[in-house]
Amino acid sequence: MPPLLEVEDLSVTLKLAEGDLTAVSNISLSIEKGETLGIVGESGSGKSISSLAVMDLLPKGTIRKAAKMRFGDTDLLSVTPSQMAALRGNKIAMIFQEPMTSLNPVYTIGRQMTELLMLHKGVSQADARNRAVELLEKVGITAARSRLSQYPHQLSGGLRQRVMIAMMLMCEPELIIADEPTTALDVTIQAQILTLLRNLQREMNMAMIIITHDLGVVARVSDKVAVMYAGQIVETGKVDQVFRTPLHPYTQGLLESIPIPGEISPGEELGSIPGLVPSLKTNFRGCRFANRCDRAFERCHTTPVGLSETVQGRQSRCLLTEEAAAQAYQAEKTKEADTSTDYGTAIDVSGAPVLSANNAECVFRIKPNMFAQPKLLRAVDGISLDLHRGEVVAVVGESGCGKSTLARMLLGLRRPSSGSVTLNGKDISGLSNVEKSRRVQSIFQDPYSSLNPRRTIGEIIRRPLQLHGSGTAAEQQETVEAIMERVGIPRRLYHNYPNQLSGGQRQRVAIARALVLKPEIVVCDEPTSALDVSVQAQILNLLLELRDQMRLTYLLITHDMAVVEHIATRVVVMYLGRVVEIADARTLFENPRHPYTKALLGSVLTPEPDADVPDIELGTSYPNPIDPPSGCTFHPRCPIATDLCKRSAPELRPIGATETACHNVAAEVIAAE
Amino acid sequence: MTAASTSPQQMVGDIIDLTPRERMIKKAKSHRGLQFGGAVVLTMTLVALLAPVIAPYSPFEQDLAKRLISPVWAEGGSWDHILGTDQLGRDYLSRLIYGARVSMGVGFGAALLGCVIGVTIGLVAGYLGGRADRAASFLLTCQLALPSLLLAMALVFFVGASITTLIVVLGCLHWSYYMVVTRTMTRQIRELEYVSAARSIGSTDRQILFYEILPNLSNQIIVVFSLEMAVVIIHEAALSFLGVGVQPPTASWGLMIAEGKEAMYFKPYLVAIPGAALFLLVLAVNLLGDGIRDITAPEGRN
Repeated sequence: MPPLLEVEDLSVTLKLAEGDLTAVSNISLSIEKGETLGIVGESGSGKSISSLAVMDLLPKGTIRKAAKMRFGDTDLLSVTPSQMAALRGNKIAMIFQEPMTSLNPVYTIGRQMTELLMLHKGVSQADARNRAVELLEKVGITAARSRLSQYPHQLSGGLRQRVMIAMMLMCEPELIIADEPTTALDVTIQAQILTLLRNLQREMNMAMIIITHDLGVVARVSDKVAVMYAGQIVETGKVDQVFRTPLHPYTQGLLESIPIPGEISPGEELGSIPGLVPSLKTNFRGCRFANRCDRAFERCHTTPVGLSETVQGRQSRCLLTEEAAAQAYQAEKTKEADTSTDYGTAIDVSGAPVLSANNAECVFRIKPNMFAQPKLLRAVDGISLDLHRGEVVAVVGESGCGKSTLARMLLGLRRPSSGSVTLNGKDISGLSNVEKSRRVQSIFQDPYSSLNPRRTIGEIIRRPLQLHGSGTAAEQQETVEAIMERVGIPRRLYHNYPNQLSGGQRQRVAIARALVLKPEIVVCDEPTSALDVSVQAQILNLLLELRDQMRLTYLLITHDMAVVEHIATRVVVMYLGRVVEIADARTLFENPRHPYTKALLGSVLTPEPDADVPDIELGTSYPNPIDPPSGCTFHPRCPIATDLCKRSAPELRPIGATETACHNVAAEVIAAE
Repeated sequence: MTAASTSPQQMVGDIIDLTPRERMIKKAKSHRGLQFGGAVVLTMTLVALLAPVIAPYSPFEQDLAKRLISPVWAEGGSWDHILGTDQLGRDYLSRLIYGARVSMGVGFGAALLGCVIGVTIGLVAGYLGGRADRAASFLLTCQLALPSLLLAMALVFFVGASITTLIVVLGCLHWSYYMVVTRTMTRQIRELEYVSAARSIGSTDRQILFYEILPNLSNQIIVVFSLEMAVVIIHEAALSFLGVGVQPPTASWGLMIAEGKEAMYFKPYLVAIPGAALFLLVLAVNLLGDGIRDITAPEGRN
């Protein structure tokens, strides 16, 4: 049987003011009914552009060339725009990354869902509505009929993505293209959405293309995988082949850059790919990966490298022989396993804490309009936390749990509504900005917005020194250059503006700015979540290295459990403004006690090709913090909740080596004793 | 290395090791609009400053025997009066040259005053939010509700017409666009992480406003400035036309248009010449504004 979708030698060229840019060059894909193809690659690798090319949704002025592009019996290269429009949404459906913006805010869910069906199939409104209800139930939305009259803003992110999926299924498409379908969602929701997609696809025998930067998602959901780099496919094959014995050095590098729980000891240096993705405006002569490849030889730079078939349907774009590549990867892996660092020796728990929060609370008053009674939103609800010198404390939780607000309070950027934050024993609100900033510094999440676009790199890093009046202009410049070298920013970027730098370089600048004052504590708010996988590893390695060199204490705010396991020494799990569990990192990962911690850990998607998407039993979505549930705020989602949990809130109490806030866990332990 | 074409150094190859100032000069050298606008504005400013030296005649000297002489290119024109004379026999070129002083002075002065007022209110309102923001919005609503020309007339009438009064009155009436633009942008920028970053390295509110936020508003402010300057010059012309602006016999381009309109149908140059000068100035200011924005913005055109 011929494949459902066949693409041969697809190239996409974007016409830019500065010249042509070939975003995708000569890629070939094929997908059969009921099959899932994963396309992985870093940002700018051309993965989204290729799917848009299939849908004929490329921006104006883009040139699409292909030797063959066929979907079912339709030749996609010769269809008229109206035929293509009839295909879109009907036979081929697309799910976009951002559920917050891909639904139209002014129409009800029902109208948006039924419109497509009525348009494409001429179904009556009543029938269309019945079908919509049926599908909403199928994607796990309760009270489906009443949802039809709701507007998108009334639904949470996870629910909206479910609605998007249900909407795509309305016309029973044969192919679904999902572009980063879970990137904007929390980890626990991500697992649920992936399970849903996978089940639906099996049940309805659809083909699915899933585009993502997340190797964990691809490993668990897809059958085949295509790895893209700089507009080319560098490796394709069955998922287990590619993940078990990656052939291309780029795939190998990507797999090594992900901290895999259990395989990497805390504090160990991650494998990373040096350098940057080349600009696609470059005239490539040899292999596009050659300049970042540690195994490149003379011929790699000079001769174009084609995709060569190895074993049954596997292809790799590399001059190295299959055996050589596999051997090198194995050698690399075993070498890593041997090195173990004595992580955590720099911690000094005996001394007084350097930074601590004492029953700190942060309450916002929300006033929907002028006359309404203000409502209280407890973003942080009584948290006590000590940071000792040399520790790496990670605060984890889903979005909206108050972890960023906690970080702002610890930075002294926000005054606690009650309770206090002390820095070396002194109340932080009593310290001046200058005093505070000499001790505590921060690294922000998004390196694209944390650097002032109007200031050069040199000015940005030098600014703290100017504000603190340390040294003469010449001395300041010297300090700046020294720190630039330390964090790995080339000297020649001194006079450049942030928009001329890549994401990873920008994050290095942000790190340099934070460290130029030689602080004791650095608060890192999701320091790697906006970065590509290979760059993420570079930044994590840098943070670890600097910690040892400069005796830093880190407070790490993140939702990524793999990162936590890699660098944290102690973990604080937050839920709705409260701490539900605190433990030593190792203890927590080996023996999580709180049901929420278990769910969080369970939802981590490591790139294991055999494993399925984990089943997370977290019934409803994240509650609205303005209107938190009674008793233990986690009880509506908790698999082991009892009546007691609905009535009274559990205290955080020491249980073994951890501190846990859960009635059931406490009862269990008492019973065991 | 043979792969020099793809080495990391080359990839960011367009980035050359220039200081921001050197890069700005380099960009300015290839920016036609900026060069044209800058040249015109500079020439006009010089002409205005050196009016007594350049002007062939006194702008006030009347010679009724030489009324309404056409410019040199029209029938009956002569090289004695290159741009002809007006209905009172005053040399039109001299009046144009002296008029540049008033028009440009009022234009720059009032637009600058409006800029200072509007940007200050906008920055404070946008940055502080809450009560300050509501107060500023109320002030804006009041300003927009007032018929500005009428108010200007009343003010000028009470205070007494002079160029200083004109500048102050017009400046105080033309800050709303600056304020709206500044306030909106400040509200957006305030939420960005580099403002938090600035605070966490110890910047005070004032330092944040002037070092972090204000430079990022310069694109918008320059554009509004070049538009407002044109509006103010025309407003000045309107006030002069209504008789509460510049008092005759002082020359201003607006007043020249006003006085010329009586003879407009048979001597169109009386209106066309000051009109053309006004057009050229406004165009040049706009081009200059766009040019300055282009060469100072790190991201190039947006």
